[in-house]
Amino acid sequence: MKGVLLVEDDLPLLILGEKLLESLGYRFYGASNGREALRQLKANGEHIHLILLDVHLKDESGIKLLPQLQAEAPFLPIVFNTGYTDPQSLAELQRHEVAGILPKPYGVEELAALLERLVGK
Amino acid sequence: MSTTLTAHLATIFEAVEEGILVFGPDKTLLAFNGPAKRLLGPLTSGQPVTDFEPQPDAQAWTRENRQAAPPTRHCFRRQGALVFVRDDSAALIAEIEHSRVLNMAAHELRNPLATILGFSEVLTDPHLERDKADTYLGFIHQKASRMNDLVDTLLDLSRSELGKSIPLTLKKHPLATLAAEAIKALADDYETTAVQTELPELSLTTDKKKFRKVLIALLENSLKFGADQIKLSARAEADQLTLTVSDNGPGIPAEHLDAVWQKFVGFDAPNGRAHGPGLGLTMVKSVVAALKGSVGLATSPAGTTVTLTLPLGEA
Repeated sequence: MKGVLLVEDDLPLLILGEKLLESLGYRFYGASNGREALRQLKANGEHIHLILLDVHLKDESGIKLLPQLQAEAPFLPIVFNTGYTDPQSLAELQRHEVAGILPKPYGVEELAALLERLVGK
Repeated sequence: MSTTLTAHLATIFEAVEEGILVFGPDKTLLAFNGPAKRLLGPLTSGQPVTDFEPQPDAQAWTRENRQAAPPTRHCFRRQGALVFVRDDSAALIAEIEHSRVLNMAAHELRNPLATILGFSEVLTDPHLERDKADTYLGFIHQKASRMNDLVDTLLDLSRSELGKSIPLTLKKHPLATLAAEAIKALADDYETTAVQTELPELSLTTDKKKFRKVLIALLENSLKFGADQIKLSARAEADQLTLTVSDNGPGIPAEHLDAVWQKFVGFDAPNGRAHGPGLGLTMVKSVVAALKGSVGLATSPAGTTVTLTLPLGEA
């Protein structure tokens, strides 16, 4: 079973992500802040095949966290998750080395298509 | 043409608001007025009309670059051409601002919607356990309340910008209770032990919900920007209440001082915390004005102090 680390500071969205990922047959790893995300990656890195990273975390910006996650797991695909979907914000995010951008709100179909494309079943 | 008429025409030429460029039949600049120089920068007689062709980035105006656009259309006749130049940058800036505000509002509404849509779908599962369903319903309620709060704030801001009054429900409330409720509302997300209160035992006539939002916004700014000592104090003099929130945070950089009052302009904290919707101080200002009070802000690298002055209301 492939694993996905969801970094999301909003508890309901973290729980919702868990439900969606499990319903799609992925193992869920959750983190509500940057420190916890790095800890999860160190502890479970070998089981994690993709990171879904919220751009606006309360304790630090996902953009600032990105290089730290990439240093820890250089070959892991990382996808930004954001509610800012205006062209200017998206263009700004695309400048970073990420495997994709998943706009919020996302449904089970968008998530399934993204995961299948980047990590397979 | 009489000398008087020429003099009148020269006066009008300089007095009009629009810039005027006069080109001869050879398509070179013959004359221009003061407003044209002000809008387009230095001009010299004899300049070819091609100097005034639109630049590729003529539409890319920003707040910092309010330079007027060159004329985009000219029609030459045998005698030459008159070109009028008008500065439309204020309208364009307003349009850009309007679009920015709409984008930010859409984002702020979309975030809670993600939870509402997602869990309402999960709740259709007939095998879902009762306790989980209750938790998910709680999430939906919490996010819907947040959307409601946000819509209220946006409507209040819009009314205030249009010069209309914000509807208030005024009642007498003990100040200490209002403060305690505001601090409690922040306890899930912040270390609120940093907040010390020094409040006299008094009640004020205010709109409970809106006043609480003001206190939450001020305290949250201090907490978010890394202050670990925050003092909420108040004193009453005659029929006025002076309420102060002071902190030992890093202060507001001088270049952000004007922007902090603008709606949907937020700044990331130096400790890495991302900014919220950027409505806090804008809302504080409009609510305090509606309560017939005033707000002041003093900041330095050693901390920030926000002072509200409000009428105590009926004794």
